[in-house]
Amino acid sequence: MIHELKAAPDQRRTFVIAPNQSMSWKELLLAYCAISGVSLAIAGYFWVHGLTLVLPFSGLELLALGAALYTTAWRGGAREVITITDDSVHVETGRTGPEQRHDFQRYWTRVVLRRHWNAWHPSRLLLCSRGVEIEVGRFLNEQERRGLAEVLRSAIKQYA
Amino acid sequence: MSYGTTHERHHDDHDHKPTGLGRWLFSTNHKDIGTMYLVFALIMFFVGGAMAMVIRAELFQPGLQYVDPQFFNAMTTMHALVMIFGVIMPAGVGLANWMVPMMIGAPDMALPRMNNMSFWILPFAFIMLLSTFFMEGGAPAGGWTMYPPLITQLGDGFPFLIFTVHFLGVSSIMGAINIIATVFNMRAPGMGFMQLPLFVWTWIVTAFLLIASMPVLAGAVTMLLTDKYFGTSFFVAAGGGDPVMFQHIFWFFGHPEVYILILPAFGIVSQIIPTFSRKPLFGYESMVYATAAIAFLSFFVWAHHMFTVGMPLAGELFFMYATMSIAVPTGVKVFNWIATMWRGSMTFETPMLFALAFVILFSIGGFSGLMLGITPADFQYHDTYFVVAHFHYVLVTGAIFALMAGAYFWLPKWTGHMYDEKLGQLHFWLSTISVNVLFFPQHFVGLAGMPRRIPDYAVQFTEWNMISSIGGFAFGLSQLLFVWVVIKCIREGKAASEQVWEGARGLEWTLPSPPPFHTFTVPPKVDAATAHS
Ligand code: HEM
Ligand SMILES: [Cu+2]
Repeated sequence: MIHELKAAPDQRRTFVIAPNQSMSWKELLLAYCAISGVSLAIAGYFWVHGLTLVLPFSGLELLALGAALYTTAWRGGAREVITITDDSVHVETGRTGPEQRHDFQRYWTRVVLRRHWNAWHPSRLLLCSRGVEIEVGRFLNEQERRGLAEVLRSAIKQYA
Repeated sequence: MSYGTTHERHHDDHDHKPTGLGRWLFSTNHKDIGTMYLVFALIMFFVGGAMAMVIRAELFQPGLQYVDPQFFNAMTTMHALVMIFGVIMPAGVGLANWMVPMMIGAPDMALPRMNNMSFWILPFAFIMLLSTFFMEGGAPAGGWTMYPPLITQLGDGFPFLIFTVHFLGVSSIMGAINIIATVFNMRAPGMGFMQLPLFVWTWIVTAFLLIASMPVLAGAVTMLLTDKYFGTSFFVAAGGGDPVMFQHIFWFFGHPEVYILILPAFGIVSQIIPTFSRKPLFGYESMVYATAAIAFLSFFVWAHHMFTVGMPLAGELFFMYATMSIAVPTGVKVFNWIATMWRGSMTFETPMLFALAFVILFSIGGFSGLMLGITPADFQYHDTYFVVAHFHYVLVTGAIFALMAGAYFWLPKWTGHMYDEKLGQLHFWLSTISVNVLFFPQHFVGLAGMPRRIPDYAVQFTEWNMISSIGGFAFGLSQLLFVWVVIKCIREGKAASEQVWEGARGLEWTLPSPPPFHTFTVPPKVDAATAHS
């Protein structure tokens, strides 16, 4: 997902890039509980009938499912904020707040879309300036990343 | 400084091409992994197919010709295990890997590294399973259903069989978890659950079925293992256990499992029929609810596989009516497919031909299923070739045909080339004719009383068995043509457009096939309210 925040008075442009996050943590928990409920009911039913070895496998599986949902939800919280001001480009990455920050001089900043040798693999979008390269939009899909490259290119050169 | 020229120069930046196996071994890309699943399934299709050829050769005539009975039974057992766990399931997962992220607008599967692991477990598990042929006591020969006490008489191969089942289970569970995490979390903005393509829907439901039923199978086979080696008596009558309980627990897994095999097939066909009818799918919502209803009901019908073990009358009746009731949502689906075609401007390219054959031939399998679901009738049909005919109609002309349809449908998207339409249609007609010659006569010999899983038979069954075997060899040979079509399509062919098929709709068809770099012009999804000009 790419959002552009409303232009601030000093003519900045700010893009917020986030992975798709189509379910809230609450909804995920609810779904997880529902799935677990069914699995545990089945395992419990067999336990009662003396077939005790189903439950451990259900337990392991539900742990794995929980871990998987938690991990994807956690990864979904990542954010990249690209701010373009009159003479600089800032890239902030983090989750709830900025954790890393890169500042480039706008004039020297290039937007590079590096295609993978294999057309099946995603391209990489890099901001390069004076030998420093940082990658943005890793978690976007191909379509969005290519679009972002276009948008950033025109935004960076727009008022230069 | 001119931005323009600087950009142009870097437009063509490439990564360097790695060489060797590492590219596949460690890949976490959903398309690579999907491809590996599909190639693996195709290889196993021929491994399982070779076993089927042995079976049909032996059954060409009454009497014992080529193999001894123990080996014959190993063939039927291993053929089933390979085809179910090594072909249909991996092919379904392969298609999901390829298509689900593209269909929902996600960059990849949610857990790419787990994806890699869940694939590589498969070849490992199957090498282990196939190695039992060379062990003391041979390969498993007690039937893919592994009923005790017969299966526990297997020699050294026994623990390997059990661990193979565990590994296959772990692999499927990881695949299911990945699909759930992907579809729950990674849908593009605006892609609500009721906007999901049906293939994605059927896979979500399949993943739930896997989550609910796989631990039951794992528990069941583990209890076989402890019964044999650790002195428990879950299923040992002498120790107070009950072998029939194994049948209950196995089929509690087993019937949902057959829907695990067929639901993705429903999904594929639901993508293809609208495309070649140039009409939207009729009754999208009812399709979703029917899929969910089938999945739900599949947990209450398991004992139709064991009507003859001697259940209380109320049990027999309950499972008979429950089984019949599955025909209702299944009928809704068939109705919707036909209604989608109604007054559509249809064309009959290979994917559509396979999808149409699916609708007709799968329905034949559904009807024989209904016959088997009638308890008193099943007392006669049980363990005869009629059952064999039933499940081959639903699994071969059902699941396999849908997978073939899907392969032809999406091959241009994957390779960037159109496959050879003439050869594709030839493959279709050869397959469709031979598969009916192969399996239809099995209804007759079954009704006349020929038992399944037996290397010899009474002479009155000879003619139909000969015909069936001839159909079998023809069907087997026809599949070599499919391999040729695929290889040819990878190497050459008319360039495929982005949309590939005139009537194709959905996110996956808006991406270039496979994406060429320079032609891309679609702007990103920028939030409408805040979008710049
Ligand atoms: C309308 C739907 C269906 C009904 C009513 C139905 C009913 C039945 C019944 C009653 C049996 C047991 C026959 C016996 O052993 O005496 C059976 C066996 C079987 N069915 Fe179906 N079935 C249906 C659909 C399917 C589908 C969709 C699949 C798989 C894709 C499937 C796969 C099988 C298999 C593999 C067996 C044999 C298992 C074995 O004993 O090895 N069936 N079916
Ligand atoms: Cu069943």
